[in-house]
Amino acid sequence: MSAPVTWPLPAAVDLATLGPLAASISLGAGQSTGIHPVPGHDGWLVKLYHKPADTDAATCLDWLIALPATMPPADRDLVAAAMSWPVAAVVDGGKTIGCILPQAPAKFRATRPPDDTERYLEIDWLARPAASFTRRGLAPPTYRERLRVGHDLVAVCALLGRYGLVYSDWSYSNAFYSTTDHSAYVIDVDGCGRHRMTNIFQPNWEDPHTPRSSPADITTDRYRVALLVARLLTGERAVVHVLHALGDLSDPALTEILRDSLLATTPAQRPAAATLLAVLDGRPYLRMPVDRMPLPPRPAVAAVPTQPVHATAATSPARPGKPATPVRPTADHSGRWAAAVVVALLALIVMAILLAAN
Amino acid sequence: MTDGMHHMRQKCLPTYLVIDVSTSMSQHEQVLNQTLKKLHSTLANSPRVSEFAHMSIIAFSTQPWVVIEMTDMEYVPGMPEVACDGMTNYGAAFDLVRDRIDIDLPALTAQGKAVLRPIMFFLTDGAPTDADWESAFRSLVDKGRRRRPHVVTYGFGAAPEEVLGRIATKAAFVADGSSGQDEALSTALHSMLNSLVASAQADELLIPAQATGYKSVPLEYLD
Repeated sequence: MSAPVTWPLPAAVDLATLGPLAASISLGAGQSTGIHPVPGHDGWLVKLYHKPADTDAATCLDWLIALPATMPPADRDLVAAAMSWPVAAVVDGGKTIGCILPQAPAKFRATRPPDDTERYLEIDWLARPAASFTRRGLAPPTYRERLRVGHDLVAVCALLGRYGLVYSDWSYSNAFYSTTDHSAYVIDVDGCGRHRMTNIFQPNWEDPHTPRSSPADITTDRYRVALLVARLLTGERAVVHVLHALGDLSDPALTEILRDSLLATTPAQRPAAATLLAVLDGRPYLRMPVDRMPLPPRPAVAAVPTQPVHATAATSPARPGKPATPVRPTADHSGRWAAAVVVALLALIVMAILLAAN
Repeated sequence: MTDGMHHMRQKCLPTYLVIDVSTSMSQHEQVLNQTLKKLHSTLANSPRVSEFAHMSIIAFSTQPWVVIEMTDMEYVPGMPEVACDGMTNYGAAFDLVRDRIDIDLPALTAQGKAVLRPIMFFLTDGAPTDADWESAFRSLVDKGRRRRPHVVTYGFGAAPEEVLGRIATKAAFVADGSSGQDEALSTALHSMLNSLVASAQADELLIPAQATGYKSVPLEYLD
């Protein structure tokens, strides 16, 4: 169910007026305890925070809610199409305890193995090599399809940058994609900060120039969205492998702008999302000089198995008559077997000769 | 790779799931297999978790054996069925985990990963049947060993609370009897899975403070 164009209630609603909430559609994670459908308002969700927002966060949320009304139509259209942007604060006892968000459109849902239940498709599903899809009996996305999803993500990042908003939480789980039109949808926009915000850490998304204790800013977003797009385009996930795989892209300008973003020795030199968007659009852009770290060497050993990993027979080695996997590395007995076979063959030959002689 | 490029190494939490498959577990065999399948399905379809928490599954009874070698579960096509039989020999299982850690961790490092201290989730429904298990355990978690694992234990059935508390280095849970044993087993594996998901999101090892149907056991430190 997609949200109607306009939220029908005021920009601040009391929790009590929403009525009893249905069960959460999402496990409580990050800053929320859960996300619930709004009773009587299909397509809208209530996100409840772990703790009431402090004054700064509540003020920022109110500002975010009011912002789209001041945007030019093109930006408003992008907000509606590609972002779960907050439309109202939820208050209780005078404190902001959550917000109202539009539910992502149904086109971002699809069934996936092994259980074939319909669910929102996280970008996590797309940032994989083609082999990962074929192993599951799915058609792998084409490069062009990956490119279109990446384009939407960069467009969102560029829009946020235009309004001085920092998202910080670019990762595999905070955006959905559509297998029908290859568009993307970014969630949790209510967590954005103005100019800087908490540096949200997830493994393998660390900005090398933003220590964990330091706030994230627009340059952190530039790094993380570039990394996300690079992972989408290459299907690789380890940064080292991503950096090398970028060299295989058919568009050298895209390779270079993404490597500029990921390898810049100074965060301020990272190309703006608007520049990356221009490259993706094939529009003219200005490439500023960037001092890069050297491209690190590829690890000698492949990061992932080249063949599926098979489990051993899950039966105790002590159980008679069942195949057992050695508990510890054991000596190779193949030589002994070969010798036994040779002896047996020789014995057969001798017997045959003896029989023939008789 | 220089320190400045350390962030480029993919972080990896080697996770050992060590499961008691002795005779006493036979009554839970079906639930165990169903839950393992669900565990595999969840991990295999959540790359951000499976690439962070690489997993090896080790079963033990009279002897231990490696059911699945340390890997990203995405690359394991399916989970085998576990058959329960034999004694509950903890010691050989601890020896095998120690040996596997010495094989697996260098292999992960060679793949360019930034390897965190491994964690062992130990599930049992019974007391150890081998008398000298404790020396194997001490060797596994010896503070002089750089690769010693964190240990979290889940016990149900006849698993002795006191032993679970001695084995665990991070957290020990014992079923409180509020639910059936099958449910306790399923809950333990879900608790472990939640721990891995939370750790993957938080960039650090997060052990649940509680598990539904379990009570926490005070840890007894060896030193």
